[in-house]
Amino acid sequence: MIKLEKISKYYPAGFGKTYVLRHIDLHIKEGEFVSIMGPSGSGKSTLLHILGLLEEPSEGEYLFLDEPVQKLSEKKRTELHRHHIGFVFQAYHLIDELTVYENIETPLLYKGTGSSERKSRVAELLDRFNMVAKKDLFPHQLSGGQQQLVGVARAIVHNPKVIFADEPTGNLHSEQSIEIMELFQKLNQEDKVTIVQVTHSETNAGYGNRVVRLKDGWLA
Amino acid sequence: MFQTFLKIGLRHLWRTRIYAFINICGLAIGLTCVLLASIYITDERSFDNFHKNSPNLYRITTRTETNGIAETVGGTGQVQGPAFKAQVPEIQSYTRIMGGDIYGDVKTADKVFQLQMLFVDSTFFDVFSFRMRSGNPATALLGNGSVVVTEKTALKFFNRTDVIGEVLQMAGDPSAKRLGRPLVITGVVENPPSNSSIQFDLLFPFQFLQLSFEDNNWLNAYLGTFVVLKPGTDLPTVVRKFNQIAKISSKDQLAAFEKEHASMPKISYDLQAITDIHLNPQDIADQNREAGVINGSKPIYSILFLTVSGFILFMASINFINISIADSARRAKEIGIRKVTGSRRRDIFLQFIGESAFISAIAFVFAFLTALVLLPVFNQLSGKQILPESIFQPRMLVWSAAILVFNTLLSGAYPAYLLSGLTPIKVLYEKGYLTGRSISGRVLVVFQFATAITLGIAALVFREQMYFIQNKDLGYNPQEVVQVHINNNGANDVQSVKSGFESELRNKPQVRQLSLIGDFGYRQARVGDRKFNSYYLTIDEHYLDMLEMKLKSGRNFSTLSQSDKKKGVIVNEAFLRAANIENPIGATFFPDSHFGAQPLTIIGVVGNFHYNSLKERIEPLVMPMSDQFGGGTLLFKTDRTNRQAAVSDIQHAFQQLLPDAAFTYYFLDDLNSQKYQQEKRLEKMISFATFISVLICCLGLFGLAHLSLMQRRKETGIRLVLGATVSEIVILFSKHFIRLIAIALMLACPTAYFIMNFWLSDFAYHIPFPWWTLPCNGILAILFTFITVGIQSARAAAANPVLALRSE
Ligand SMILES: Nc1ncnc2c1ncn2[C@@H]1O[C@H](COP(=O)(O)OP(=O)(O)O)[C@@H](O)[C@H]1O
Ligand SMILES: [Mg+2]
Repeated sequence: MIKLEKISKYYPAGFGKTYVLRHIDLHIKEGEFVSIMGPSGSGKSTLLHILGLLEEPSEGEYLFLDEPVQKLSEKKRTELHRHHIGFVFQAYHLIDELTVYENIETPLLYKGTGSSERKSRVAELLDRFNMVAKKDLFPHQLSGGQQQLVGVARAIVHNPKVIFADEPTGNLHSEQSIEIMELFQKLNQEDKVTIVQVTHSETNAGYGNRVVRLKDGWLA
Repeated sequence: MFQTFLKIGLRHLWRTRIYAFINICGLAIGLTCVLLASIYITDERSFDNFHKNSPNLYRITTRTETNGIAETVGGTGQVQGPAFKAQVPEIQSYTRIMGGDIYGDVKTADKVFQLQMLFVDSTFFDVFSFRMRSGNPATALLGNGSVVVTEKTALKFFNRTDVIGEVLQMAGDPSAKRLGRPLVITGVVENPPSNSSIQFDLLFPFQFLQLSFEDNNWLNAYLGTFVVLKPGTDLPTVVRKFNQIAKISSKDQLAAFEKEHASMPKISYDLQAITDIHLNPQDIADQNREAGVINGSKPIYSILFLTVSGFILFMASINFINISIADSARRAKEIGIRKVTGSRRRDIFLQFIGESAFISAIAFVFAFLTALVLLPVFNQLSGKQILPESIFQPRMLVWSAAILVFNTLLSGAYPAYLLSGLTPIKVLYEKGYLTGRSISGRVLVVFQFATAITLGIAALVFREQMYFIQNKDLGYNPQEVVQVHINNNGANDVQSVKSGFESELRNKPQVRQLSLIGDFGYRQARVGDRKFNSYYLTIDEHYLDMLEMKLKSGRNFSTLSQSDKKKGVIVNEAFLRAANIENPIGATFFPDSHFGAQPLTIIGVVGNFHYNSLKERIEPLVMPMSDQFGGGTLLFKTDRTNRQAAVSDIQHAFQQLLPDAAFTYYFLDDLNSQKYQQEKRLEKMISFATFISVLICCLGLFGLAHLSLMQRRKETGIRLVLGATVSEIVILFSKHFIRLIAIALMLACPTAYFIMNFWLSDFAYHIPFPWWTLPCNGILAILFTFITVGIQSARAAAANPVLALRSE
């Protein structure tokens, strides 16, 4: 479902340019659970953002669901975000002004899901993540682990085909990390969701079935 | 310590320069308005205070009560001054002045001008402090035949100011005719300052006026009598003495009046300080203002101006307050850390006040410069002649300092109070403690919008009414009618001037018609024992035709009928209603005594037409034939395509017939529109205020939207990642402001309706309240918000969300 060919990314620097990613060839099939690893600054986040259609590559070709991403209109890209892609961030990135319930509900609003279906879907996830009692709290009233659970719930609420997670456990301690990773594994195995995560931890990488290593922008 | 504050303050300013720019711009605009208002008010209040005697200088006013209706006017007759001076020892000196709206034709061998004349007693320069350039102020006005000119007049005639001994001719003037010799200049006086209620080009001795116009009637009140009282005089005592003297002296005249009119006016006198005159001129109603005082104003203009500019400044302050509060997130950490390290609340409060003072001071400097630059425009708009140096007078500087302090507190106090009250725990450990969407912030934004919308509605209603006024069917056609005033040369002369014009212009096709009219103002009319006021206008047989007026019944005047001239009269429909006459043609009534003791017979009735401004209701109108009663205004109907040629033909004829008079002419429609000069000024002012307040609102909105977008950058990013479109983001951000505008609209509409309905009711003829202005303003407000907020949020939404998300 994901096919990168000779993808490069550079930023202008002074009179030249700094390459962050160089000639990346990467294929990810539906149902895979891939972990991207590498030292800090090696371009992991950039790669994930390119995969998640948040940034555009400077060179190379990217096919997402067999479609060349470069040719997608703004509208089509938004459509893909609404229906097929979910994101989980290291810093959670919940909306401070919205409650737990509303945060989880947001993607469904953009997707245009009907109100009763929305209710049942959000309720189902709250139940599944044991967050029913917390549904009316605001993000800052939750612990980090709880916030990330909401983050994951929000990422999967609209039944995406693929989840991109950038160091999802980076701000959590080990028990919380395990909880999230087990959740990912379950999503991957039971719900057949493709998962691409960035992680520093070999343990976390162990939950997946393939590891991609980056060094100075090169695929190692 | 102070240095740290300064450093932090300056860095903060630099870091948030876009907000600093918005604040300084807004405050500078607001302060400019307040400064100009202060200049205006200072000037209004400075009127006539330059006289050395002004603490003891008073004008005698006359209160007349007839049939229960009382009226106070700022004048007396000729007799009161001398009589009071002779019998009231508290009066140190006095002078009568007659003029103000009296213009005369004055000429030298080669030049002729129409100039403003003032007839005054020889004590004029004792009483008032108009400075003599040359000549002896004590004697200049003593001899009959002497005249004192202003420097401006001297320059006009002679191109120099040392003109003592030069002579002026006033061939047409009845007094000058009696005098029988030219007038000799005995003094040159500085031009009266612009803040003087007494304005003149020439001063004549009062006895010069008396050569042709002597009057010893105690019941009259048409000229100004000014007295200087000895310091420490008790005013009520003096007034009591005046009334006693008047009671005794006027006894016979009152009795005679009662015999003739079957009614007895109650007359009493009072004193008005000269410095009060400008804002309460008590013009002599329905007559030319000849009591010496012109340029009268009303306090309402000062109040209105100060209020509107105060609101504008407050709106700018609201921007400052809102932006400070909304931006507090940025400062919060600093405040928290300071508190942890031992700063007291007071220190922090003062720090923020200091920053507000700094911004205010910069804005003030800009405002001061802007006010200076705009002064000429402002003068034009307000009809004043304020000099730039008057901005620097001590009084203004004190005012300015006060405004600066006030503004600092107005915009700085609340945010400083709020921010200094933050507790470190809250600031350092919690998020979302203060956002731009605090309740007080919302209230202020609503207030701001409500003000702008109210002004917007007012401006539109104003425009509508002005349009209505200027395009209303007046009941006659003023187009292409030229009006030329013939100065009083003795009643009979005017008729021969008219026939002179008729023969001069006979074969000039561009001058189609000519009519002679005389305006006699409001006077009494009596039908049976029903008495009422009517407007008296003498006309001739061409008048109705020329102005395209329709007769409702009866006929026009005819030169063939001798009785038309003697006792025929045309009236308007309002007259019939007031007189309660059913069959008008042939009916008779008794006119004002000026028009003789014999009854007049109605020969024709015209439809009501607006002979006055639309502020005034159409009152009963009496139009006798001018052949009988003289009159002084010539009307010429000109050819539309040849107006200028017609005017020069008229001018040529004028100079042939009246070689001693200066030619001035007006188009009737221009004269009509001049009646609304005050309104037009107000209209301009309100439009301007609206523009400025909208600008300030938009600046504030821009700032708030910018801030809230900065604060919600992360949220925007997340939403975009979750699949929001740009337009959804724009709507999300505008919604909040649109809601505030909706509330503002609900407040503004009734307010504007109330105020503007009140204003409209001042016009006897006005439009119904134009309801469309309400939704129109609502839509405009929403549009402006959408543009201001929308463009920014669109820009924010179009930015790469990753940038926002990475920065965490
Ligand atoms: N907008 C940008 N402009 C210039 N350089 C950037 C930009 N964004 C990221 N980089 C650089 O790209 C490199 C890779 O960043 P990133 O993908 O975040 O690394 P990782 O997630 O592996 O730590 C870093 O050296 C970073 O400084
Ligand atoms: Mg990273």
